[in-house]
This record gives sequence, structure tokens and C-alpha cells, in this order.
Amino acid sequence: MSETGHLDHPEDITAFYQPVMARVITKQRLTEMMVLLRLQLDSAEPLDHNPGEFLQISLPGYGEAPISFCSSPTQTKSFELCVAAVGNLSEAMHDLRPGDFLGVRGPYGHGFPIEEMRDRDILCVAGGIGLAPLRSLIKYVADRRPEFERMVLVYGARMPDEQLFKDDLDVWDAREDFETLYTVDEPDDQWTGRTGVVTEPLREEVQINPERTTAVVVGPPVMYRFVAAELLEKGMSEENILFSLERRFKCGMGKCGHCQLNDLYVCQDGPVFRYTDLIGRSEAIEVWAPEDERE
Amino acid sequence: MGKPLFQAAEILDMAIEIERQGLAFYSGCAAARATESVATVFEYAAEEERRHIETFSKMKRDLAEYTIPESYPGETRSYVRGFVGTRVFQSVDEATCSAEEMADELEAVEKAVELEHGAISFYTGAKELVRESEREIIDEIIAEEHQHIRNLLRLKHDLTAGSDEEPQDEPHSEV
Repeated sequence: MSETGHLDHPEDITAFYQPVMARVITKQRLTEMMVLLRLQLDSAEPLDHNPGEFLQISLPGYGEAPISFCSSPTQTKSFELCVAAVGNLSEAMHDLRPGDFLGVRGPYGHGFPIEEMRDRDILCVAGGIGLAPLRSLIKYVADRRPEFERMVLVYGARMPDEQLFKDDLDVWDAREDFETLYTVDEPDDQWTGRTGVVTEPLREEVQINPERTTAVVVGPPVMYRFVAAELLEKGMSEENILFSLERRFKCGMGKCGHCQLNDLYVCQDGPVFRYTDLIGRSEAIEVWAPEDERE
Repeated sequence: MGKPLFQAAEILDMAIEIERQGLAFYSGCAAARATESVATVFEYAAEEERRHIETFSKMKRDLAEYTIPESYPGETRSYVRGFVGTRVFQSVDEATCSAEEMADELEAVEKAVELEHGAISFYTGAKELVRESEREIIDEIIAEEHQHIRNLLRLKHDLTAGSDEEPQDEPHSEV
């Protein structure tokens, strides 16, 4: 199999569909809806993933679903997945305990172009559970800090209780070589930080050098175009804006068509796309307004 | 080249949000000012905003509904509000302070005209964010704002009636 998950030989097909077993090392509840699972392959070998890539996770009797890595490949002995309870499989995953096993295949997809991002300023914009896949990149940058220039994280959650990875947020906030801006849309009585959606601190508080900045955007579908508008207003080119899109993956090998986005397969060509890659693709409705169909 | 990030219906949502902000701003100004004549100017400006909310809502009804699934109820509105932000109007608290510092009704009209020019500037920028085929709708919004400015300038002229000041024509270069 090639680095991008494309099949090189027909005999790869069996290996492609064959899950390997991974054991749950720890389980941590992050919010009411989200748990963090730390896992290790039965073989104890590293998965050698890139930030932004994903795994197909399976549990017998419940099915299979794609989940992005939320740990950095610099963490070699185990890997982490953040799981939202949104269906039968993910709810069953919430019931897993340390020592339980699940099936994994992958890693799949195109992650963040790390090599191109070295020696550049990194601006991460995350909304809601979009912080989970972005965490794999942020932790990578944290572990290899001298290889990157500025590191800016703008993170918005709906409310304080829905903030993910609070321990990490505190650690990143305390780092002198990280610039962090956290906001919530619906504050509670205890919240003393910023209020509003993620685009507000992005517009009002973040100054960037557009020539040397790579922006990485992961969040709910509604968020993308508003963030794009702010980034373009700051002078960024579409070439340097990366979006990680979420689609319903099934096979992970560009065969089933579930994740098709015009002529692209998100499972193979994405989930990380350059903004320029999405120009003219009408099904990328998160990032471009579609034509009024009555025209 | 403009980026078709939004549909005209969404710019109308932003316009309605701006008018709501304007309504709150002008109402705040009217309530804060002791001088009746200044309050009258701001009440007039607030009424114009109310009328625009109705106009833009009617315009929106004729356009296709474009919705992206929300991750929580009201998410899109939050982003619209965030996008509009303080690009045109300040907060109501700032409006109150600003109104309290105004010397007379002429200054109040001038402030309102300045803010409406800010709104036109916002819509002119927003035109670049919709498809060319939909820009006519944004021009209609801008035309409404120009009419608002003309009404304010007429009011200013009426206020200065008796003085030597002539009514000024409102420039139309942005449309």
C-alpha cells in the first residue's frame, strides 16, 4: 500500500480490510459526550501515522467507523482517539474499559503537510470537537517546537463544559512559545474568559504575517466559511489555508463512494485539503456557498 | 476575483443583524440623552432601522434557503453575529456614552450618517463575498442604506432651516 493509502497491488486488498487488534490502555471522560481512549496495538508496534490522518475502528457486532488520531506520532508507544457518542459503535466504545480490545485498520488519508509547515507560523483554528484531530498536530508541534515558528491556537467551544482537553489547554496556555485564545459561545456564571464564536478573537486579537503563515481549520460545518472570510481579510492566500473536512467514510479506500466530494474521495484525497483544492467543487458546501439552484 | 463564500440570503441575514444592532444602538442613544431634540433624532434613526429589518426580511423570503447542519441550535446566528461584530456599530453601552457626549441634534445626525456610511462600506465589502449573479441583491441593500442617509441629511437640513447651511447631496459612488 502506498503512503497515501492507495492500493498498489490487488493482493493488498486483504490486508487493507483486515483489522488488527488494539487494547485499551486508559479511558478518560472529557465531556458528557466525549471520551479519550489511549490504545496500544497488540503487537505494541507504532502506527506511524501523520497528524490529521484517521483509523477505521471496529467492534464486532457494532460495525466500523473512521476516527481521527488525536495523539501525535511523537507518542510512539500508544495512540489516542477521542470518541463522540453519536451512534451504536461510538456508544459501545464509550463502554470499553482498560484491557478491552477493538479492531483498527489504517492509518488512512492525507493528513497535514508537515514538511511544508516547518519553519512557518502555524495558526490553528478549532471549533467544538474539531480540536480532537487538531490536537495531533498541536502536540506534534509542541514536541518539535524548534522546527516551527509561531504557534497560535484559537479555540472555541459552545460552552465551558464542552471544552475538550482542558488539561492540554492549560498546558498550552502556560507555554511561552504558544499563543492561545479560547472562547465560548454560551458562557456560564463561572466563565471569565472570552465570549463569542471563534471568529471574534481571530479577527480582533490575532495579527499574522500572511506570507509566512499556514492556517489549519477544523470544526463544525457552519464555522468554515466564516473563518475563511476572516483569514482572507487578513491577507492569506487560499494556498496556505488548510481545512480538515468530515464526511461519512465507509471503506476508507475510495471504493464505496460514501465520502465522495465531487471528483474527490475524502477518505483518500483528504480529510485535509488546501482551500485551493476545493475551489469549484460544489459539494464542498462548508467552504463555498453553492449556486442558487433556481438560477 | 471575489470569493463566493456566502449567498445573498446570508448577507441579508447579516444586514438584518446590523439593523438589529443599529436599532439597539439608536434606542440606547435616544434613552441616554436628556435633550429631547437629540433623542428625537435617534428615535427617527431607530425607526428607520426597524423599517429596514422588515424590508430585508421580505427580500429574504424571495431567496432560496441555504442551510448547513448546525452542531447546536443557533450556531449559524452566532457566527453571523460574530462576523458582523462591531464592524459597523459599537455596543449599546458605548452608544449610551457616545450619546451623552453629544452637544446637539446636529451632532447626533452626523453620527448616524457616519454609522450608515459604515454599513454601506460593510455591504460593499460583502458584495465581493457573493456570486456575481447575486450582487444585485446586495446593491438593493446598499440602495436602502443610501436612502436612509438621504433621509438623515434631509432631517439635518430641516434642523438647520433658518441657518445659511444648504442640504448636501449624498454621494453614490459606492453603488
